[in-house]
Amino acid sequence: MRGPAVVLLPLFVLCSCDGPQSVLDPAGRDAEVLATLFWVMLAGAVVLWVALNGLIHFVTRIAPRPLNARAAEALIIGGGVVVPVILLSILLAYALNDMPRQRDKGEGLRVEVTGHQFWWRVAYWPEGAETPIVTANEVRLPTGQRSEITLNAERVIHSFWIPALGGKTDMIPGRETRMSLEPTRPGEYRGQCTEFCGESHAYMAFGAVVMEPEAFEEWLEREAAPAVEPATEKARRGAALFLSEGCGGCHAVRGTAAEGQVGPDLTHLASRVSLAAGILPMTEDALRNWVRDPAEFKPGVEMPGYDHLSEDELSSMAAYLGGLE
Amino acid sequence: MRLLRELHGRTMIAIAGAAAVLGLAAAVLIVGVGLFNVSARHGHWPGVTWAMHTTFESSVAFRAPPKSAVPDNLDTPDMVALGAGHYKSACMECHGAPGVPRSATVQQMLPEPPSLALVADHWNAPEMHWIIHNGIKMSGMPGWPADRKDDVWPLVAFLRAQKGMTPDTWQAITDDTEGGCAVCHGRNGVSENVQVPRLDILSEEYIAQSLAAYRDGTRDSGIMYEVMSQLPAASVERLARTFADVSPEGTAIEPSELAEQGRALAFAKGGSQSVPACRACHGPWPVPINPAFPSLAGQHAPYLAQQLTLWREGNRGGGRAAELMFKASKDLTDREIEALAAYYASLEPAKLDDTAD
Repeated sequence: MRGPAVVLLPLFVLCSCDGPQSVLDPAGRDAEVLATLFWVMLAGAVVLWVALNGLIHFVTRIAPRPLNARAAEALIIGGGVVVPVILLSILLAYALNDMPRQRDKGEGLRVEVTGHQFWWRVAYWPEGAETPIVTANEVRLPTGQRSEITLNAERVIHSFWIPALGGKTDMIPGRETRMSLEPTRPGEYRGQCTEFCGESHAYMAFGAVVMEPEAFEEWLEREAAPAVEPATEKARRGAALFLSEGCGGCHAVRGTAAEGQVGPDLTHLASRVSLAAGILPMTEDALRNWVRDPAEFKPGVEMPGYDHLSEDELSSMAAYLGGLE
Repeated sequence: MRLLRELHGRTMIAIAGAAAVLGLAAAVLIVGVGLFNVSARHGHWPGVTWAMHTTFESSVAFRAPPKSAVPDNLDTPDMVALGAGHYKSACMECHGAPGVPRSATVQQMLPEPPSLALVADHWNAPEMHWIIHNGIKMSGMPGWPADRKDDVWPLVAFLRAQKGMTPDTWQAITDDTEGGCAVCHGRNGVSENVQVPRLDILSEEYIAQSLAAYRDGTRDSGIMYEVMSQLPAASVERLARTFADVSPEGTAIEPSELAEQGRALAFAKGGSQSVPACRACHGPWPVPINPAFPSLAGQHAPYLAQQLTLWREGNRGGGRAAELMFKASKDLTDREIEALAAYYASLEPAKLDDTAD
């Protein structure tokens, strides 16, 4: 029994080392630096640990005899002060050396992310833009360039972190903070709020998508366009409900009367990789359940439940929202 | 000495035991057999009236809200008129009114309900508010039939104003020849009292839903609960139809600077990320809106401000979509409430789907 457990446990732990939200599976320049830093620190720690245990083994098993005063003093000062100071200084110098690179200035695209309870407002400012392209709960970045990220918070402190792309930075109400990210590998990753911000802090995540520059430009152009017209009769009913039930008071669907600024922009909702800030799949089922009772999935959510609508009405609404690509 | 102490102890126990037996016997005679005379015809024993009344007065003075709780608009004619309307239906029976004496039977109550004329001199506004909201135990004075406290103030306003009021004035402000609703809501529901909502801009669905909510207590109001308790359930639909059938008349008011700020908020143009665009549910909106939502166009500003405050404090109920309004109003500041009320009051009175601009 013990044999397999000893082999399996590290494997089990290692399972969590890759995937869409892992520091150890970097897809960006800053995350690579952080991953390397982790491995170097780990190596340093292993050296220290082996040396210390070796010493303990030596004095208790191999040569268990009293040392004379001089040798004991040398051992304590050498092993207890000199060696750790040297080793830790090297590691500190190495780590500090990497810090400025984490705060390099972006070169072109600026993405403004605002933390709300419990979702993310995301505004893209391409170079020279006068108005932003607004979306929510998903951050897309192009490879091959360093994008500037400016961070704000609406009411409470949040923290912005895409582990696969780089380090984290706090978002503070009334004070803009900044960072930059330089993704290298296209793919879908996951970001997470990492500062406790209320009841549903754990449910405040987002999709982070890295794209080739051309694909990113195309996507951004689509994102800037107004919403598509509903395609089916059911979706048209949903669209009419959306506008008659007050949804436009909080949500914007560009190209319609809905211009609300309180909740996430839904113009291209269905093209996002997830629903409700990274916690639900983008399906009509999930949309229907979410609209009926958001608090079931996200306690303390600001959005009111629409359980006064009939199932048929909710389905129509979901069909409309699910078609907003 | 020891013997004496022991004897003394035993005596004490015996006296206490005897007192307990006597007390129990008295209780049985009074509560069970009925020796105490509860007749109101014969008044209290000497001193009892004084003890009870003094207790009452001290208790009220001790518990009344601070003077700072008195609203600034207390003595306005519209507050007085609303209070008079409610007084007529709920209070006049026992306390009389200008030119309306208390009946002989009421005057036989113990204690006798004070004649209206005496009240205003004896109590200050917070004390009257406390008495009306809480009622007085063992006196026949009932408590307010709602938790809400703000809708007690119109009654206080009336009590302060009725001193020296002529019977003609009283008749004029409580005239019900147009029907009971008209006393406060005006002819055809077109209220000219800014404390009372005008009903002509509302839909049948909304009025019916509101009356039902008043009736079952979902929407807390001592004034409307009293009214609904006297109306048969079947009349709700008829009333809703009657008022909804009225076509609103009136013109827009030149918007003040405050109203312009309200408009920006209502149109989501104010840069606010916490106040939803009011117009998505209340107009003006370019496409049809759920008729269960109320139109606010031309509604009286003080009424709107009061209702928004109630929503924000969480004391307001309504229809099935009430949660929407709780969420929408919870971050409103006093200033924003004033601005929104000013904006909607400045619009031309209109039904919900006629507000499109």
